[in-house]
Amino acid sequence: MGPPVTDDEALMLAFKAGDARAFEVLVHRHRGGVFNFLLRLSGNRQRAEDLLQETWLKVIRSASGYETRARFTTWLYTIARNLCMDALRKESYRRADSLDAAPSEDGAPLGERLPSGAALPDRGAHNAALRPLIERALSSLPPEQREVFLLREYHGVPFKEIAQVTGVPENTVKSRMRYALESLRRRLQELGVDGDMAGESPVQSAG
Amino acid sequence: MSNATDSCAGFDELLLDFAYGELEAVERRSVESHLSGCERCRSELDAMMGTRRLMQALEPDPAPADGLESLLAYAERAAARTEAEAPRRPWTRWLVPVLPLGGLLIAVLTVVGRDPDPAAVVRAPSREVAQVVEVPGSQKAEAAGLAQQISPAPPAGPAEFAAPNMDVGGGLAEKSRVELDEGGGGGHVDDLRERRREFLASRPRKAARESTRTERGMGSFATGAAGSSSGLLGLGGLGVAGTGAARPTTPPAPEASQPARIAREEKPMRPSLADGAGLAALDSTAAPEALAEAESAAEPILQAALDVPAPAKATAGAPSPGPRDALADMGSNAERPAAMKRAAPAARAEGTGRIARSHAFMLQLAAAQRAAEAGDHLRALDIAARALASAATDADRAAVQSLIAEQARRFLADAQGHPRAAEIRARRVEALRALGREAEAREEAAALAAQRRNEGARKPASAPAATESNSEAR
Repeated sequence: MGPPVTDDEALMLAFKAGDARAFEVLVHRHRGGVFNFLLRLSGNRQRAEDLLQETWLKVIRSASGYETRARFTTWLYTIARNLCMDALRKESYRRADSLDAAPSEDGAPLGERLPSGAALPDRGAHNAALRPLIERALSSLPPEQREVFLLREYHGVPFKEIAQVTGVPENTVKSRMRYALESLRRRLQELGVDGDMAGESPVQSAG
Repeated sequence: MSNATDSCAGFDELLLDFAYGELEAVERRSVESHLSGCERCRSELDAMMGTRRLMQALEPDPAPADGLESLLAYAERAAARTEAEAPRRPWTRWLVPVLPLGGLLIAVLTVVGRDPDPAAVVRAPSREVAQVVEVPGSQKAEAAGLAQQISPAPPAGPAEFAAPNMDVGGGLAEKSRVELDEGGGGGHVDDLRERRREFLASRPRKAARESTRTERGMGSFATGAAGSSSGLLGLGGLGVAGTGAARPTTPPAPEASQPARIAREEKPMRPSLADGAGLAALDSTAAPEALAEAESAAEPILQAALDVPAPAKATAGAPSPGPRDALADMGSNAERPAAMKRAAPAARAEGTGRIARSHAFMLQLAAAQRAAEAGDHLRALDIAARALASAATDADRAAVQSLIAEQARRFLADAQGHPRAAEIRARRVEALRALGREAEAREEAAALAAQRRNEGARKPASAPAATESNSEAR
């Protein structure tokens, strides 16, 4: 039904040339990733959903100008990132809007709900217990560190490409990443989480 | 770093890359050998990896299903517009990907929208519409969801034909109403639909507020051209209420609460626009001259009547240091209607002008598409040429170019010896070029050259476009 498995850039070019199926493949490949990026970066599920849609609409609208100068994912995360940062900047405007002002569970900062803290037997449940703590640690990072960390840790974007996405030099990206790791470590310690709780979690290595 | 011994110099810089596997083999090996002998760097790496392990416990959330269908439908339409091979695609095919419920829409359009008396649309009782829309079981939930997504606000305005108490059918009727309004009594106003869809699709849940505003413009109309025009305005994010000639005869619905709610949300109330002139532009029988008049009449009204803040140059105004890669501007929100609400007053004048231009563009594109649908390819091409001049964005230009390419192809299929054949072919070449459809452009340019040679053999006088297309034929 779909086109043969191929790289993102070829798919995007195919979509640019009028192949809607190619776009569908791209969406299925990357929609989840973009959503999680936006969710963690914005810290607000509702906004992340809105931004997710905006991001992909932007991909469609920008398709005619798409060139394979950068990797597709770099381009994609650039779009998502810029939309999200715009939204974060406008946050104060949004707060003034009565419709958005209503406090909701989703509106609360991630990790507001405290975990039970009890040690849990299996890894899934263990991670579930860690989750709010991790979210809390993440939300404590300033956005410019958070975006770098998210892109590198969860989305496998190399530092060099993060520099393209965020529009800052690679060295700046790396120093933000060091700060992020250091802050996270301290924050997790404050929350009572230490390395032992991580168990045998495999850490992916891009090399 | 402060405690780093000399032997650590350089390595602590590499530890981060090492931790994320970004080092080349040579560097990696040298870091490894350093680590084996350096306690300090080892513990630094351990700390990093420990944090990484913890953070890896955060499992990804599934992406929401909301918005996926409308997104793919929108993509399909965008793709259909740019797809090279038009001949395989009858004009009606454009409708199909409009919605996951494309078939249903067509049913409604066929039964209701094509009614020669547009007032009949208004009079159509809601239940009838709901009956026309027979929803296959599996699609019901989706249909309801989509309908809700597109039009979550309770219906307002006098021309509604959706009954308030219908569930799925009601939602669909409401949805269809939106489609019909946009489509102008069954006309293909594809780009308008698309823009509205894009606009609404971009607000999967917050659509309520946005579409309430739009509904104010949309809801007042259900007749052909009127619907289109209000659609245009709504699409521009303006939400200007239609009045005067456009108002259907049906008495206003007794839902006073809805306008009141709108009034609360929309402060200040935007002035109404008597855009009868604009409406004339959408009448498929209107001559291009009338269209021009209509537009020039509508524009100052728009200029004066609209108090819509201009979109912020979001990215330009952002505190980003220095010039950035074009990549970095991709996410700019600048042209999104929602952004208009929050923009600085300083940018208003510019924004209003832009909106008026975009209004003119919409009128022209709609008129061109109606002419196209009516089979008047030449007229469609002439209007499209003017739409091209008013197009403000690449997407707008691409929409027009693809209409030109298509209409020119259709015209040329049956235009042997037509005095304007060469000119139209040249325009098709130009449009194809602009769309990046190089192969077709070359083919068409060759045909043009051949045509010119033939014509030149018969009569030396050449078409006005000869010079520009000669260069293209090479």
